Amino acid sequence: MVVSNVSGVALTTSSLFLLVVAVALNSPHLFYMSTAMIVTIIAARVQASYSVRNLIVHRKSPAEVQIGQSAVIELSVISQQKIRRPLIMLWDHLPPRLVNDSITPSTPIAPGTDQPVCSTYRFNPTRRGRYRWSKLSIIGTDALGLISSVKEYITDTADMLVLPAPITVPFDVANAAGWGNSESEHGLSRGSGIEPRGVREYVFGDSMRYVHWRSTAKTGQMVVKEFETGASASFAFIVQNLVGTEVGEGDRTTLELMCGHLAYICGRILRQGVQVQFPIQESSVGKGTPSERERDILRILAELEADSRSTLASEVSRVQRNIMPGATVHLLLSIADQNLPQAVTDLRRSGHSVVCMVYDALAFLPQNQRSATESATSHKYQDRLRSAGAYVREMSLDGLGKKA
Amino acid sequence: MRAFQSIQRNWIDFLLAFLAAATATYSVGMGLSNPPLSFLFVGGIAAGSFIAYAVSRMFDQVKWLETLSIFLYIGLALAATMLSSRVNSGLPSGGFPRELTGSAGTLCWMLMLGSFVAWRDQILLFQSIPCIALFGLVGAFNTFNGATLTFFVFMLSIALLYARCHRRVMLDRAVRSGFPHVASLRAGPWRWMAGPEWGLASAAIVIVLSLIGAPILQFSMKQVSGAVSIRPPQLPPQIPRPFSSAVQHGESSAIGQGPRGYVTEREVFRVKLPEARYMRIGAFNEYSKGVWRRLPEANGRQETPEIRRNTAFPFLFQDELQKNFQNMEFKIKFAGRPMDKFPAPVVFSGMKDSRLTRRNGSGDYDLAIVPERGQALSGTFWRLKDSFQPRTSPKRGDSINLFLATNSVSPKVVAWAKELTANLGSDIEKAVAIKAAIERQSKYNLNAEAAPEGVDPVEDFLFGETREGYCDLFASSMAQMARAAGMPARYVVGYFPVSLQTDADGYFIVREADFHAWAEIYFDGAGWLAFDTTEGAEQVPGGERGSARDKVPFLETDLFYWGIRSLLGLLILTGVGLLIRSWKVPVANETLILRRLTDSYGQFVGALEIASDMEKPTGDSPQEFFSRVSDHIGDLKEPAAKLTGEFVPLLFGPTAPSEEVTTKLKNSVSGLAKSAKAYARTQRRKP
Repeated sequence: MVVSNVSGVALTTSSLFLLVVAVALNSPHLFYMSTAMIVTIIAARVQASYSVRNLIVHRKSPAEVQIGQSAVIELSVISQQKIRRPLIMLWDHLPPRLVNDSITPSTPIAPGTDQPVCSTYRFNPTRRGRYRWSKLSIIGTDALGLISSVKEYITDTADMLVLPAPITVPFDVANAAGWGNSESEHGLSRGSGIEPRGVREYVFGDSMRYVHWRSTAKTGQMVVKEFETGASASFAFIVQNLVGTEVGEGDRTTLELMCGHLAYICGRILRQGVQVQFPIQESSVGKGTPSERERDILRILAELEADSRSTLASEVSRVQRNIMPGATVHLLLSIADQNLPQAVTDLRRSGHSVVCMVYDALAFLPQNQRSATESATSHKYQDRLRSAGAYVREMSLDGLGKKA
Repeated sequence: MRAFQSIQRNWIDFLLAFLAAATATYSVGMGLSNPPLSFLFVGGIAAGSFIAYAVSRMFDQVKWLETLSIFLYIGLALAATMLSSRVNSGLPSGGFPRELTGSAGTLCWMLMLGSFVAWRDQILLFQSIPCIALFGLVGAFNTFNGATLTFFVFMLSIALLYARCHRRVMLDRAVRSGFPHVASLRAGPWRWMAGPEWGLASAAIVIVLSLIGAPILQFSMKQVSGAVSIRPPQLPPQIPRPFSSAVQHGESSAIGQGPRGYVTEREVFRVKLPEARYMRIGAFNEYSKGVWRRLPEANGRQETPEIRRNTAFPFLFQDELQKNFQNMEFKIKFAGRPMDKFPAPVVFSGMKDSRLTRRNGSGDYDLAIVPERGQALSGTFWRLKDSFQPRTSPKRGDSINLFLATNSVSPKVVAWAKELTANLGSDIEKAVAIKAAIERQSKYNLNAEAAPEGVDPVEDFLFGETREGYCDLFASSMAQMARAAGMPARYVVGYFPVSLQTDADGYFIVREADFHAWAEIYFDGAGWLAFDTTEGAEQVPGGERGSARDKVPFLETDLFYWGIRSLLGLLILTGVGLLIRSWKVPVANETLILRRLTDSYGQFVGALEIASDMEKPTGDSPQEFFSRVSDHIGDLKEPAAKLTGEFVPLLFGPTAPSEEVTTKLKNSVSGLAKSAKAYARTQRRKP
């Protein structure tokens, strides 16, 4: 595959035109001029074409990278022939699903024979997931930059896991009865649990519901009540991942937002001593320090895809036995699942309190497709969930695209 | 830091862009035989490039200015299309021929105006397109021999410019990719890059292949080439005029107009002839009210049976030619002045290369090329043998009658001619008598005033108060009076080296002041014979025949011509010198050290190969290769391991090694190589 630059096309056309005129007029000067140009272009073409051949390429990519961080890919190239080459550029065939921004060009390099020469490029992935790719193209250009030649190479498969970035979200931790929520979910203050601990100074973001008016009046400074989570608290999260329930495009989808929220929420509550479980993805509660556990959860979230054949209700029923006793089950959904109220009732019967975190799927849909889908935020559906005993929380979409 | 600096355009880029545009416009001007035009545009482009460079330095990194330059360039390109035809007449030496104002004119203006706003690479590179178009025009007209040479200079300049722009793009990519040590690119990932030596080798190959390939290509296309013919550009009105400043417009020549235009000592061409001869560029046969005109059929273009027999010399039969004439050679060397008519020595026979001249519709010869300074042509002419004595003129015939017409000649002139020739027998006697009478009657004065309005210039010249005039009046009087006496005659303009000045090689030096007019009378067996009545005429002091009336304009002097060329040459040499300097000096030491280091490593590998009798596979790193051979090199293992360890950081580290370290390493490798040879010999001796 040979790609010509604009200058190359212009010069090639000019030289051929000059040759035609030279033949038509039998002008010796034009013969010299057109020959010189044609020879130059042929030389450029040969040089460009030769520059991309007989190379061995290895790729080194980070195993994990979090959204918002920069992924640096190292491509090392070695020449199989002892020749000097013009500079080449490498273009990695990143999976189309791997949405990224700020991708930089790769460092132009001249491959040597004795030691690999390294070219790097970087980008910021904006969509979580596991990505694998092996193709890359080498673009060789002649020394004048007139002609570009492209050759595709297959390398060892790169495997990169993009972890979600936490998205700040207001989060109520419901108690066992489903009332009296703490609103210390924003993470701006210490001690945002569920057990009363004391009072402290108000910081921006604290809920006005927990202002300790008596102390405030006494001290003249805003003071809020502080809570801490009890050591026995445990949360289970189940995310709707039925095929077709991920609504939206690119990095603006319901599942992306859910994962971002969960990354944030889990990070917060883990540090408060809460046990966190993802019953579908793990049969038992993971162990380790809060930071290790947080990392594991991020990996779980990174791998989460809307590829299940079962509805959320079916999944809940299937994993109900695995859920920690007494755990508050958080169900995250964006499309109304008609069987879910029954599953909620079953969960409630088995001693779990249930929080349904609903997302407005319609906000992610194009205008013309909205009528076909029933969003989990519809009032009728929310009423059904409430009737089944769930605390329903309509999740804010404000954080969409804003990574913590 | 240096690498960062080199991302920016510098003076070298502007110099290269200037050279590219200057060679193109220079070639066009020279192709039109109009050096002042070349110099005007070259000067304009030089000024433009300098201003563009100054602007780019003053407003470095100003993005909006770079964007603005595109709009300015488009605007100026549009302005060029409008400007080219409007200001053409104000350009030196008449500017571009009318049919080229839209193409060559526009492109030249575009290049010149564009050079003022070439603040970004895209514009610098885009300028190459109009340059190529201009070279295409020059090549198509085939009027400038140096076109190929200037094109190669253009190609070299533009190739360097492209290479530099490409390098800037690559450096920019490296910076954007986040390469941490851009300054050390040359010592790092660009170490194995095909460098300037490859570029120079490629350029040499391109030039050699072009020089060999073009003639082969032309030869192989012989069967199909030349299907289209193209008329060379119609040059502006010729500067040399007869002393009368007769206004010549191709098919007519007005006489007795007074001192107009200028006549200078400037050389037009040099000619090698056995003796000073008249060199005809145009003959006119019909006279009316002070204007000579030519009718196409009058000079033998009407193909009567006798003409068809010998088209080279109408009215003469082949046997007469062979009998009364001898064929002789002449050489002509041009001085680079604009000429479209070929000054054919009387009587012109033909050129050695028949493609150089073209017989026009009036029987004269046009130059098929625009002659360059120093360009030499050779041909042959018929010289009347001294033994032949012409006597009579033909008195009838369709073609002859046109040269006998006296209906527009003043009756007074006719009467005087008849009076002078009444008692004379042969035509030659009559012609000689008329010539002598005119020479006695009038004086030659280069500064003579024009004839009064309403009076026939010839009558005024012969019978007026002053009776002074230039060659055109002498020639017209002779032609008209010869006709009145019954001899076919015509008015002819051309050159005659009046001063008889020759150079060291025996060439007559023909100047603008040698532009001349004379009469020709036709004699049986001899054809047209020149009668120059200025020969014996009295010369008015200060207005003598062959003297120059005007000074050469400074822009057209040899001094200016060679001065500009020398300056251009100096500029090119300086540019090349500075380019080499800028290329070599900052990297020479580093490159040299790296080369020595690579050579040392090559020697090291060679030594290990000899000792181990194994070949290093391509792609093996130094450590891999050492591991491969370590068990086969005996005692050399230890020093080889040490050297491998030393080579790796030096070869692949981010910075170039010092000269001292490289030299030390080289010495160690030399020692190892000797030991390796000894070890190999020992191994071979073992059974």
